[in-house]
Amino acid sequence: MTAIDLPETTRDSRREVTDEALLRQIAAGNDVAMQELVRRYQGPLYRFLTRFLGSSDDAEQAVLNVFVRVWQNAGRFEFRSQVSTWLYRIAFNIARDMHAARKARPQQESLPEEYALCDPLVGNAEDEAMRRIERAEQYRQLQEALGQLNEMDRLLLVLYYFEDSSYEEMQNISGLSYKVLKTRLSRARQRLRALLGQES
Amino acid sequence: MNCREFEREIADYVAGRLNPVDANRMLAHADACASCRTLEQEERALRQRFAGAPEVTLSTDLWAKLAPQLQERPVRRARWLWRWSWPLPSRMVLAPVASLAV
Repeated sequence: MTAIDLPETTRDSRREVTDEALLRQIAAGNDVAMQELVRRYQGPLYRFLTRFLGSSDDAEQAVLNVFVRVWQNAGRFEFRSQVSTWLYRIAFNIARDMHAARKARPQQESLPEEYALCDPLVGNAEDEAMRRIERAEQYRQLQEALGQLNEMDRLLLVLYYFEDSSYEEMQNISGLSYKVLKTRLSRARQRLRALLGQES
Repeated sequence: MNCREFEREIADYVAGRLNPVDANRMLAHADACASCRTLEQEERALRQRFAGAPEVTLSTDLWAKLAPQLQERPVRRARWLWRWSWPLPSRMVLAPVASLAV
């Protein structure tokens, strides 16, 4: 691996380098640029993939896979879309494959840490514990219902409700036209409501 | 506004994504239509469910796990760079040869 310094490598100036400039450096084998891209996107991609896959363990592996693919294919990126859009498209493709593979091996969903029930409880401990259990149950139902939808429906709902993505971003990541996107999102919402209605 | 339009825009309305004029049209329609008011309540409940999801934060920096996996990268140049890195005469000479090979 070739390590070529970025033009400016102080912590602050590195942040001013655009994603596109970073990707050009990555295509040339610059691992410093790769490290900076990872720093910028590991959090958002992890969040997106946790929501999409419903599992934080799988999400971490998926994020690693995304960055490996970026490292291997940076030279093929043609700069027709934003780098962030490209990353999310890769993430979606990887998550779709992982989700398909997971269907063959049912597993225990891992809850995000905030819902862990072993934290020390303050104040009215019993009420707080009940609220946590209730919220955890609602989240479990939501993830279970999302997991029953097809990948495109799930992608659109995750982007719309969790990521608060704009329609333009959603179009770029999903590859759908605005009109089709609006229709599919509306139908996905109806399906999700129906599934949640069955569960509760 | 009719019920069909209301249904199409309800999520954006509840999310606060509509402009004030369209939002007021939605409000006026919901005032006059009981079934659309129900739809609005359902959408608010759905949104509440998503909002109640726990924060997701990555507790570790993934670079330490990732860096060893990047060592095996094949050396690849950007496609355009590869395409134009040969001198023009070489490309002119080799193009017919390449087509014969196919």
